Amino acid sequence: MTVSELGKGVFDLARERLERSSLAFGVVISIVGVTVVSALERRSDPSWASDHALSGAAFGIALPLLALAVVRRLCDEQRLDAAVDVFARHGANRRRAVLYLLASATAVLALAGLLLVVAALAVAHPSGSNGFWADTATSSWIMLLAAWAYAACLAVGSSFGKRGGGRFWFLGLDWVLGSGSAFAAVPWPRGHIRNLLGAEPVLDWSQGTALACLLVLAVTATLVAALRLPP
Amino acid sequence: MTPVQTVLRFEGARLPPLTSVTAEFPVGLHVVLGTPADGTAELVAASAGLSRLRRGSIEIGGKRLGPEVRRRIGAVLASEELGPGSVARAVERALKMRGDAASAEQVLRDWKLEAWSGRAARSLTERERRRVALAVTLSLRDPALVCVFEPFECAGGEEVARMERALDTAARSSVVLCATASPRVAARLGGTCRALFQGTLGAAVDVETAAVGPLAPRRELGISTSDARALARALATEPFVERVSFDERRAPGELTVAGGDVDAVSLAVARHSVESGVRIYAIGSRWPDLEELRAAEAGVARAAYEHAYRQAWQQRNYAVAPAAPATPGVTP
Repeated sequence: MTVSELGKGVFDLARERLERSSLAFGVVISIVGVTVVSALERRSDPSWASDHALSGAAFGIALPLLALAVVRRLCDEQRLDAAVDVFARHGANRRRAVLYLLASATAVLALAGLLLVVAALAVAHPSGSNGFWADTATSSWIMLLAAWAYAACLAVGSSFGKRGGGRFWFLGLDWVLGSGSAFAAVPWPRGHIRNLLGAEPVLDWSQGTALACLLVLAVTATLVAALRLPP
Repeated sequence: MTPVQTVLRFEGARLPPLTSVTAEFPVGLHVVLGTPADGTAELVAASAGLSRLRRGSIEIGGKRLGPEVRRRIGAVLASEELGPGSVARAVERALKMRGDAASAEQVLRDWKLEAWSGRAARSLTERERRRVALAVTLSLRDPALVCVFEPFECAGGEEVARMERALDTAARSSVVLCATASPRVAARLGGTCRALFQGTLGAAVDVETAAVGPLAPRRELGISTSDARALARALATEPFVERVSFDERRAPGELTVAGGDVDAVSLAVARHSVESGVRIYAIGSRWPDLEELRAAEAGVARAAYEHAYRQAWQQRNYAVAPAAPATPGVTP
């Protein structure tokens, strides 16, 4: 068996599972929501509107919910190991298959996230300001990293519970603990993403440290998601 | 690739509703008789390496069910998913992953499924998906294990005989494990049979031995006919016939005839059919269903328990007896 055969199979499976879901509708609803929130932010405080729209509506609410929807759908609402059984039964390595599945989830989330970023900045950015493209570029790489971190962490969550219910627990804990700035917020992506966007840092850490933390979190979660499965 | 010695071994395997299965299945055909509620679907999935056990282990030839071993396992599960793309693409992918040189077209043609090759795999019904999975499973060369959930439900018409031949061939060099809820299917498949009841696997019984015992067909014939009432009236006068029954409302063309000599009853049915012009569409022995088998087994177990209890009670009484009856007027 060639690796590309498995990779192609997993990407096709991901596409088919996402096509059958109402993900496109979810993305459209998220973009509309982010746009509305950005418009309201701009009306109340134009100078901070883009920051508030990005860290609140786009990265804080829409991205985690979209990530949950994507990972849940890619796992076919099952546990992570059952999600790739269709290949594993013929001798494919589950760990490798899950890495391909994670790559699919990250790509889809990153794409949807970029649309959210553009929607938020296009509405919230003060008209006539020159920083739009710079902000879009900065927010885009943060979105890429955030998409990877959320996809990987939710994949780890999906490996717990009879039907992968651990992913809901992860999201709940990220919401509750990650929203703070104390030590409890360190193992969750939310606080570090917020720091990278220029909002309140976790433990007063610098943005460089937040970036390192988010990278470590994403890499660790990816490895844990793969290694928790039998080969 | 090193050859895997094909003995399927369950060691305290627990996966609800399977409680704690410890069993060995050597090379040959094995039938597990039980309903899906008893855990037959989980047993097949776990054997194929597709379920994460809560406890215990499953090995084939001393090897865990890793990728290399799974490549040599063919399975038809209770619920099948073929994967993305068309049926031909799904079969081709399965063959490639196993390192099989056969082409998807060839496999589908061999099982007369080539008409489905262009269809999207997800558009197939559950039964159709299982038929494709059966074709892929039985095309596997030199398998270590073939496990099939309800084999006769995923093959239809002339495929049944072919499937039976393929399973027999596979059973010569590998472990073949079939799970069914039908005693008739179990008796037809042969091999060794184990009952699975509420997640507990019973001892192995040779089907040929059991065929004169619990797995024996009833002394009844089920007849599908054009005029059940006329045939019943004619058969009621036959000396071999002990009982004739039919339900005109629920199954107007179905007749059940019981008699001590089933062959003589069959001949009487044929004779009356010719004489009265009543058409016979199908005729066959009636088989006990799983619940009847379990009731019989429970009846035997109950009888054994009562016998043991009676013996113990008698022994206890004999032991107590000399001391018990006190002679009047004698103070101990």
